[in-house]
Amino acid sequence: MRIEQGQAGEFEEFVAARWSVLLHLARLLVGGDRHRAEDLAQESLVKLWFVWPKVSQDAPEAYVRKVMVRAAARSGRRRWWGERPVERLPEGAITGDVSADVAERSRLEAALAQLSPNQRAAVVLRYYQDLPEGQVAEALGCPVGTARSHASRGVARLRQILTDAIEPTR
Amino acid sequence: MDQMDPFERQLARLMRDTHEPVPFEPRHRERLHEGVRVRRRTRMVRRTVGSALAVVGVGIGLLLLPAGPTRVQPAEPHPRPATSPTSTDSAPTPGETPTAPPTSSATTSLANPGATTSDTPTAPATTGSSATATSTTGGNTGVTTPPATSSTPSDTTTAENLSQSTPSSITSSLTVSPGSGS
Repeated sequence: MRIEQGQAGEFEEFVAARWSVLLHLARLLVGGDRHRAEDLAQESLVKLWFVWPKVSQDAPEAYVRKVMVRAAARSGRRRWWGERPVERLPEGAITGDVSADVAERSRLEAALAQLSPNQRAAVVLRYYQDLPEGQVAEALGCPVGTARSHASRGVARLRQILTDAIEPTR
Repeated sequence: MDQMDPFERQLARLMRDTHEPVPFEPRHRERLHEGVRVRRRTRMVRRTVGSALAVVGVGIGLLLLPAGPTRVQPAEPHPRPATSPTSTDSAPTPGETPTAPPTSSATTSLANPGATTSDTPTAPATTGSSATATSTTGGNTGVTTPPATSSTPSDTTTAENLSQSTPSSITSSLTVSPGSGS
């Protein structure tokens, strides 16, 4: 499908406006890996480019989100990423003097990395994107009950991992 | 999202607060354009290969298609009646019981070909009718038998036809013998 000059301009504007949000979403979906997140965002936007004339008037962000979620789940199932759950949180690459925000983000991303790809996607869509269960299920490509189950199990796991991090006074 | 407990609310806040603004830099744009180019090229190659494969497949199909139904095989012969009309027609002649119709000579010649050559000369008297009868009753469409004026070809045809109907000739001989006795 050929994109005309005007449509290409609209696409560029959309990407420039939403890049930051999409990159953050991608980063949460992959569990914090910045390079993988950038790859995921780029790959999804390339797919968006080819359907832009069709989806530009409707909901391009919903399309990118769906592509991103499914690609993240797919890539999470690949074995060569070497991603496997561990009992203790990894130390991460944070060294030296870091701010509390960065430490908090790292903790969150490390905890998200311990979830399964579907659980992670369900939790992120539900609590970061604030989507209703129906839209979460649609993005995941599964029934609503399954999406609800992924989200609740993911939250339960995160609760177990993050309780100390979020409520340090306890 | 109304029934969120404190942990879920904090989780949502944490996810939003950790968002740091990242500008869409020229390197991102370049990479995006490069990705589009690569994907377009991949799609074009895939489409070309798909078209070529389709053309090759259709070509092979067209080459193989005419070679299929050219061979016409004869149909399976129809089941023959248990008692052929020739045997019943020739049966009532009481005087000819030993030489008995060409059908019997044909069957014996099939059983041991050299033995009944002496019987064949007697056959022509009745082969005229028997040959035509067997050709019609046999229904063997693969063999085109002329109207059987001479004895030799008619013998061969009856031999072929009767080889498939040996039981009927046996029954005919069985039906003949009581008539001859009375």
